[in-house]
Amino acid sequence: MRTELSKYKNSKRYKSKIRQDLFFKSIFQLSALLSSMMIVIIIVFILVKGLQPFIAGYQYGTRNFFEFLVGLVYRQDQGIYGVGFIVVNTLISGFGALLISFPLAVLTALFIAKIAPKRLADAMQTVVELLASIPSVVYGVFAAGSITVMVKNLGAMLSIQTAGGSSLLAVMLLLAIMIYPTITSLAITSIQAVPEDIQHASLALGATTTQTNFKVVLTSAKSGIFAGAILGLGRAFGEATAVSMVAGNKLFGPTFNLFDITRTLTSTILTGLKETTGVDYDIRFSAGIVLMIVILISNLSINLLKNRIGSQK
Amino acid sequence: MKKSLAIVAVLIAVLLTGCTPKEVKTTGNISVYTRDASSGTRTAFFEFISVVEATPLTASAIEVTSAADMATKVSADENGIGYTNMEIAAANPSLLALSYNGVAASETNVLNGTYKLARPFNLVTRATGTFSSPEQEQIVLAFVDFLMNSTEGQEVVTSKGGIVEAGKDTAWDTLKAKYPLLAGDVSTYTIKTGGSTSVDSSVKAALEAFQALTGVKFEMNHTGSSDGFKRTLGADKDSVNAVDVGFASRAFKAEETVALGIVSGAYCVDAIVVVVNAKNTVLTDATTEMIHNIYTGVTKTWDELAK
Repeated sequence: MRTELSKYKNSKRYKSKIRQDLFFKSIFQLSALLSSMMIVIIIVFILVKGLQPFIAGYQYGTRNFFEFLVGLVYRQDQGIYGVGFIVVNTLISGFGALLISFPLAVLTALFIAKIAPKRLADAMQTVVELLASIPSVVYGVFAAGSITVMVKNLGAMLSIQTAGGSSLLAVMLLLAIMIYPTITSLAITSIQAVPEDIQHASLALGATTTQTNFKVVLTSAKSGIFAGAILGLGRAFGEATAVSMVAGNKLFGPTFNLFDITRTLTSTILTGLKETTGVDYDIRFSAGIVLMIVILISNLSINLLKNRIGSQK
Repeated sequence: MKKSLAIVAVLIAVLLTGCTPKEVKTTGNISVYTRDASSGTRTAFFEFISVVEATPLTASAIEVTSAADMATKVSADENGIGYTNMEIAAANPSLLALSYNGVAASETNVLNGTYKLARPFNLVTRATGTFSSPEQEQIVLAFVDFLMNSTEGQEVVTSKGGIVEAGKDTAWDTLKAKYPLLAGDVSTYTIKTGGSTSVDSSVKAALEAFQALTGVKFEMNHTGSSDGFKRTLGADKDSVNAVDVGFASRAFKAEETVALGIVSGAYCVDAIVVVVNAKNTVLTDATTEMIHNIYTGVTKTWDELAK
């Protein structure tokens, strides 16, 4: 037996198999390395470019980092770059969208995964997936053409004048629609993954189906649902094209009035990017750093929130 | 249940369709629309209406992302005012193009110089014998001829929003006979251009069209109108920054002696139009002072203008 094995191990066939394995292993390693290198390259590049305006000796005049971070005015024409209010605006519009979208998405997911008859559930899931695949510029065109009109008319009914509907409310509604499929899809997957046993246990203890759905299914699926919320929020913060079509790009802030125009970090980075040079170009990388930090912090805080919801029960 | 559904349906219908259209007087706050600070149109427009550092743009202005976006936003806002190029203003029926200081914004008025919200795009070449070689001189002159006098060249300029005089429509095939070099391979030559940044898009399009027809390469280094003269005939004409053709998005000044160049003159005129929503009942004409006051935030409501 042993000799058979060692014979095989010395055979050409075995050696070529080992070589093949090694070859593929190194290919996988290389691609993993390459993709992780990308992240490092991007972060380093943005850090270097974005911190440049705040380092002494910057060719277009060094900026004060603190003033940049807490500034309440952003005017290229006067050379004033403050993103403090833009961060607040970004947070308001992102979390506002999440506030509208999250309950709707979770309830839809519960309906599709647990309540709806199979055919209806399949059809609705397809609809959600379709929504997720619509490109953001199409959402933008839709928002600029119809959400703004709705907001404008709503404003007119309340006798509030809006800038043709471009407003914080329009941004929130647009983002709510855009992040809805992301949250719903993830919530559906995680609700479907809840083991039948614990549902049966709950029902056997005398809980109604609704009680079971809310108190057992949703709490067991919370990890996936919150992952969806985090992804959705990431999309809301990161969406640039569609948002800049309805935001109105206010020069100062922050904006708390739903019917007033606003300015988000992404729309600030995008607007006029292709036609500009000098500090106005470099400062967009600084805004990019701020955006990455904002997303990081909000993801961490949602994770904290998730852990707290679990442990209270 | 049915009742509440009906109420929701009615509400949505009202929101979507809005109030019934009727002749409403324009009133309330003026929504001031502007291009973002990197726009050349904005720079030119603000120069015309003297929105400068001492009297800056009102902080409540709404920034739009492009000339087309400007048209969309102002046509959706009865209280809006903005500025764009003549082509876009004319193409959109829900925009009203205002006359400026009493002169209607039309191509005729732009070309005869009465419409003042316009600026010429001028060019000047180096003087005879100062090119790197006589062949280079011929190639550059061929391009200038293409840009200023050929059907193809003028079409390219028009497509970038420039307004050109009628009658400059000799086919390039006829014009190119004057330049014997073009019959051979000229892909080793490079035309260098410089000067105004506003001319960027139309000059680039023209150079690309010229390259497609002849194979001549180009190098653009546009830094501002004052460099147009300086780098062809002025102080920098022999420096490393020297160019073959210089551009200025304004009339050449008296001290810029462009007559020394082989060719000088305007290849098109760029016009800006102040637009309001077609439903606007207050304005049909814009004066420099009025627009200055609106854009600096002195005039805030339509009611102030209606008086």
